[in-house]
Amino acid sequence: MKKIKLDYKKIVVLLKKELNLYFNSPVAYIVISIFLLLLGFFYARPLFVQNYATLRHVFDVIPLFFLFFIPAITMRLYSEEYKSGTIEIIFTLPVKKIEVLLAKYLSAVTIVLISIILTLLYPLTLLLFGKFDIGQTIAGYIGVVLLILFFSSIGVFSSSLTKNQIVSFVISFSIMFIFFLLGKLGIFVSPTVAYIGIDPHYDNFVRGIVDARDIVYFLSLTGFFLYLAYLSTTTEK
Amino acid sequence: MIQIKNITKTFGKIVALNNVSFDIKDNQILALLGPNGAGKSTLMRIITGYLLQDNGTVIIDDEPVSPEKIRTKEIIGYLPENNPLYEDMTVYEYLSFISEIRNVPTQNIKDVVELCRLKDVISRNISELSKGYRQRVGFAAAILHNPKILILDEPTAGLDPNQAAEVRELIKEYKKDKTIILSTHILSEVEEVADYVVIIHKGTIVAQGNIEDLYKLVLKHNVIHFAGKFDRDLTKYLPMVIQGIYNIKVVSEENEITEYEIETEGDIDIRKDLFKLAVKENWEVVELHRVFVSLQDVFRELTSS
Repeated sequence: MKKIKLDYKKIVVLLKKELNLYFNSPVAYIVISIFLLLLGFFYARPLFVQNYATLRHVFDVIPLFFLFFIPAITMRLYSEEYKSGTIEIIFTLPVKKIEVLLAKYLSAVTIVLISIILTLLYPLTLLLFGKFDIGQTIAGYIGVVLLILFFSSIGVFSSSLTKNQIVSFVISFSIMFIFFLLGKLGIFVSPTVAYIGIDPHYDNFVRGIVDARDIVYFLSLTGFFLYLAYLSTTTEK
Repeated sequence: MIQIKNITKTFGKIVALNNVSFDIKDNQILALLGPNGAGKSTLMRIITGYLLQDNGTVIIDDEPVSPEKIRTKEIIGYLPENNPLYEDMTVYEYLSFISEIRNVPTQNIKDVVELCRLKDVISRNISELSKGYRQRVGFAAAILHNPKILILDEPTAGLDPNQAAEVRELIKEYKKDKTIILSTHILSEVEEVADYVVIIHKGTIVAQGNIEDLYKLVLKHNVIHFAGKFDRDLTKYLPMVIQGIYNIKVVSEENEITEYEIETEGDIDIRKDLFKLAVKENWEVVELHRVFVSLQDVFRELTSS
């Protein structure tokens, strides 16, 4: 493969533009609010009803929430530009397609990270109520960040396939759901099939184990889907 | 100098461009003319590097254009068809985004805002703007980096006559030392701004040249209208006394005034002869004029299939 030189200044400008578009429209605010509200429920219930100081339940439901939340954030990335025709503006500016892709990907990751950073309020308030395992929580957050990187790459790839945002949502949801389901049910077929899924890797982080193999799992799949997205944006539709 | 060499482009089974070649000289305003679906936009998209051709090359300043070529994109300003814009941005946000990507000083924003008279709407959301303003925003973004080559795909489509005139004014103001390629359906626009015309039909070039050249293509005969009170039937008489008449027929007859349409071969102009004859014969002439073909006639003749 030819080596491509990236212009990081241009990526930053493009990233700023993507974030600007997110925050200029109400969609990001609505989606983030719903996400935090629902997640807050899973944080508060064990705390108040069962008197547990734990984030375990929060970490458990995050992959399920991301199935809906991340496609909703990523669906517009390319689809909207295909539909409105602005893709022609971007692709005739002096930027490389890989730079556009990285900026779009990073913007989605940033938005999801912002909402996850807001959930850091949970462990901070837990510190007020009682003891909990800080190391385990940090490991859990590492798992969440890796999951964001992975799911966002699926999202940006799906968005690069179609000019219809709903179709983009459905495609990315479906791909993510397959990985989600394999982790839950794959064990009934064989452990190898289950290993393709998310749970065997993600659960390690939630239990407090940071294993290089799990990091490699998430990062290699992220790279794979980003590469597919790159191929998709460089071939004509 | 832009050289377009043997460009062929197909979409599935549809041939959008078939072996198209022509050169565009520096500082020339070239108009691409053709019916909808003729391949004008496809050609422009290939020149800008947005689309990749199946065959052939586009060479700008000795460098071939390709979708990943940054250098040619730096010297081209492009206003795509239908003028797509980021609706959720303000005019200022949009122009400063383009200026940051193109790495040009903020002074350029001030200059184009002034040139395109966008001051009043600078902080408005693009989605709130009228079509005329939107077109000016698109134009401003295209010329922000002061490009050597400006490509405008139907810059006046969908505008009312006043707005269209404003955009044409902008093009004329900008034209100094610049190469401009524009596509349009509006023939008066071509006559007003273009130095050179390329007519495309179904993916092939059917004619090219400056406007006078194109007239000559269609203008095989001179047509003269001659009306008055005559004492005899001129359809038989005139070819006998004046040379070079190819065809003559009566157009109308009213109140003793007969109007003839006379076609003469090639460049022969018989108006003086007709005048002298009328004086000699003592005819009362009410009309004697040559009929010009319009660019519209040229266009229709060349692109009707």
